[in-house]
Amino acid sequence: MRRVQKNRNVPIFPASCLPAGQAGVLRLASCLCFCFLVTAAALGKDISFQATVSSNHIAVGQTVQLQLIFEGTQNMPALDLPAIDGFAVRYYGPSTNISMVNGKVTSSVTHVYLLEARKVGAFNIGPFQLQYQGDTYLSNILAIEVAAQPFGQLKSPAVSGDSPGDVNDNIFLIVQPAKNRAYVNEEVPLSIKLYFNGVGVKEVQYPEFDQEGFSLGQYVGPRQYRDTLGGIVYNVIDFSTSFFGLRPGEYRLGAAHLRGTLLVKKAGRRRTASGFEDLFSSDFFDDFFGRYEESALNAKSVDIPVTIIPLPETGKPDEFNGAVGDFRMDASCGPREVKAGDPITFKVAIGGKGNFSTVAPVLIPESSAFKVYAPQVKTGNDGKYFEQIIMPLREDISEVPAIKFSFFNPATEKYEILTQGPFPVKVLPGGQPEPLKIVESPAGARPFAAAEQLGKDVLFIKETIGAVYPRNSYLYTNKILRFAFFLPLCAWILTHWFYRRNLRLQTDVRYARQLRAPAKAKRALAVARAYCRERKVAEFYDAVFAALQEYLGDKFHLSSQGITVSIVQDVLRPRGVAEDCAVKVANIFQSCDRARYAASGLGAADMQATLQDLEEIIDNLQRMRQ
Amino acid sequence: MRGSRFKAPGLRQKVRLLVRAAVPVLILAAGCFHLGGTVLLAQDEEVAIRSMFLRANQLYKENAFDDAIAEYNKILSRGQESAAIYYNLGNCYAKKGASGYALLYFEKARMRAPGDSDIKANSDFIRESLGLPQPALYGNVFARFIDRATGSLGLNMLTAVLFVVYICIIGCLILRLFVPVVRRFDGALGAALIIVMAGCGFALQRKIVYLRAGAVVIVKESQVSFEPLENATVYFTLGQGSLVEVLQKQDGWVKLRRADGRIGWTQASAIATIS
Repeated sequence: MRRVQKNRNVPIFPASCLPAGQAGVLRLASCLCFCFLVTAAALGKDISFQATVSSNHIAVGQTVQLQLIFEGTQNMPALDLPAIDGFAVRYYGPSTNISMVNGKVTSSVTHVYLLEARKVGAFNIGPFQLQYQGDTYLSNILAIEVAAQPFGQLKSPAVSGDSPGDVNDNIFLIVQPAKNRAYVNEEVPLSIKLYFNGVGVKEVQYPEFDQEGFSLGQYVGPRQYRDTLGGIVYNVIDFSTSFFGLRPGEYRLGAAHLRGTLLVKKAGRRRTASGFEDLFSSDFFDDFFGRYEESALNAKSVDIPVTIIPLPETGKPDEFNGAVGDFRMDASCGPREVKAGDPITFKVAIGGKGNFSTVAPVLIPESSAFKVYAPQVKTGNDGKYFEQIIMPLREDISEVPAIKFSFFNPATEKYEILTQGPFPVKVLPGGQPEPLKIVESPAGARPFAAAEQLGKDVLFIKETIGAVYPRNSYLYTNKILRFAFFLPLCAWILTHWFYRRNLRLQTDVRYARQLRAPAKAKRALAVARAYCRERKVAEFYDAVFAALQEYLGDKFHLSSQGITVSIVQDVLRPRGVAEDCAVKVANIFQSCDRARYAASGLGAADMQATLQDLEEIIDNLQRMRQ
Repeated sequence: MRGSRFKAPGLRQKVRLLVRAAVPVLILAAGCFHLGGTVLLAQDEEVAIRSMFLRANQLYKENAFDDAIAEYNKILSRGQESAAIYYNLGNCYAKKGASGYALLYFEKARMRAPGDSDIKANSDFIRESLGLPQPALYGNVFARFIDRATGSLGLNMLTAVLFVVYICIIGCLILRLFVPVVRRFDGALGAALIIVMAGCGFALQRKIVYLRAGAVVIVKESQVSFEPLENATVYFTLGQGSLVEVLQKQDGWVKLRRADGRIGWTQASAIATIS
């Protein structure tokens, strides 16, 4: 028998939510938010002192990181370590940490030391002792094994697949059953733990099992926490489930396989084997610089011997149906007052602890007093529920009989029987049963007795005249509509012309200047004409000069400011401007120069003549094809 | 030479300009539809027509079919028509047993109201009673597809759709000048609109041809000859109510084509045109 489990192929950690993959930015922000809690956290009363090493298997010449962690404070000075046999000791520095879990703020300070192995052997380090402010703190003892060669070459890998070979010390999978000896069908809690340190994992899937002879329950969790093993702090992902043996015998549980993605720091960025990487392993910077390399994780545990023993034969009740556990039973029925033949709902709830899959339905048996129906069974997390419909057949029935449920309790190693009932009921006389009647429609009303002959004729006339149109007048003959067909076309042609012109005005400065030259000249002439009327000679000639400059500049796409009388020779004549027009231009420039130096010599007649010449010049040049 | 002396108008300004240009066009289009659609009758004329129609209906109910036909024709002689008038006329002729005329008027009614189920039912009934097959769609695959797709659309509706699609095409052409997003889809959009417009145009053209040249055999039997001569060889015979297309008229003879494409000559008095 095999229970249905959760889909194990679906990653239970969709993103890298473990140390190497945590969202560094968010973590940094969280740290900033908690900064104000530093002082409060530092005042924590319970201070613990723990010593850990980054690895307890190293080779001579390699360096291991020793961390002295004070939990509950951040004001603990560094310890002056005594000389340690087999190691050279160097203090590296402190590291502080604040964390908030479920609203509880904890702080810690870690003093990091580097231990360089000097000789081969097994060494016990510690306990370390610190006296501070009248209190004495004592750490645990650490065991470190120093070998002549690096340990990665000696140990068999715990991680297979394409994982880097040097991470096998840092990640492993263990299977821990609550006990190794159990009865058949006895539910045994099982814990599968993935330990990892210095590496990260993500997209971890539920473990898979070699479970010959066992049935595995559903997984709960997983939970995440930290655990110290051999003086090394590991991150742990704990999958909890249960199993029970199907047949007596000696079996091996496992091996468990766990798949996921392993995150290992890229070799190029590692700080050698000195163990410094833990000190500087900030997830924020790791994520930021993408220092982690992904590879497939295929962790495998060792298999565990488990003995399944049969249930004892002595004391086995007749009612026993194989249930194993420590159960309790609750039964009820209703309504308690019914007519004979009416249904009564009988409910039984089996709770407690144990293997609910072995709990068979607890039923009211069929008898001459009751008609019973098959029960509905529901299995929840906390028990198993049965609901059965029973019908009292006679009015002399006064109770629903008692029920018994027996099971084997592995804790006491005895069979136990639970009894509920009998349940008093009151059965009233039932009504006269109706005799069976055959209901059928009268023969004449049978719709398919004979093929119906339906009449046929034209449908009735229309009572309203509806929409009235001129005879033979259709929309397509409408002249206005035919004309209207041209309007959008004209609109498009006009719009297109407007668009092209606008585009050219934006992109072709020469065109734009030429196009706007007459209008500008017209405005300038109006100003000059006003000065002429007011007899303002100097202003008039200034306006005329400016107008001519501006116009010629726009017309021939020249810089207006630099236009002088030389334009006649340089531009107008080469471009085929009529000679009289060129002469007029030259005259106007000369008049303007004269007005600038001897304005008194020019009168209204001169101004009128200049104005007229200017108008003729503009007119002539406008007629000229560019 | 590039320059930016002149500030380009903003999108909002462009849209405003377009709306200003589009509003008169749409108003004009709406006016066209209105003028091309139902006629605005003078109140007296409208009352007179409606009263004639009701009187004709009453005569029909009294089984005075000839009088009812005369009354309906009075309305037609005043230059007005409606699908209901043709339908009721068809009913009158059907009651009289003149199935050819009945079908003719049902076809006339169908030109005004192609989706009317009553017209179709009566038309089918007459055709069935005459032993005529349902009028088959003719032409190539494309023509049959277009006929089927636009079967429920009348001439006016098709014209309106055609005009609206045409406006849309012009609108897209204008929009693509000013709204860059439209340029991204102008290929697909333009192709779709042009296909719809072409389909509508094609369907409209077929309906116009049918309206102008469609005819119904109103006599019990009409012999179609190879030549417009009394002693010409008979090519085939058309039964009452058969639908044909008139190709030519000449000296009391008509050249016609039936649905299967066969062409011949028959007496002009044997048929009545739908238009």
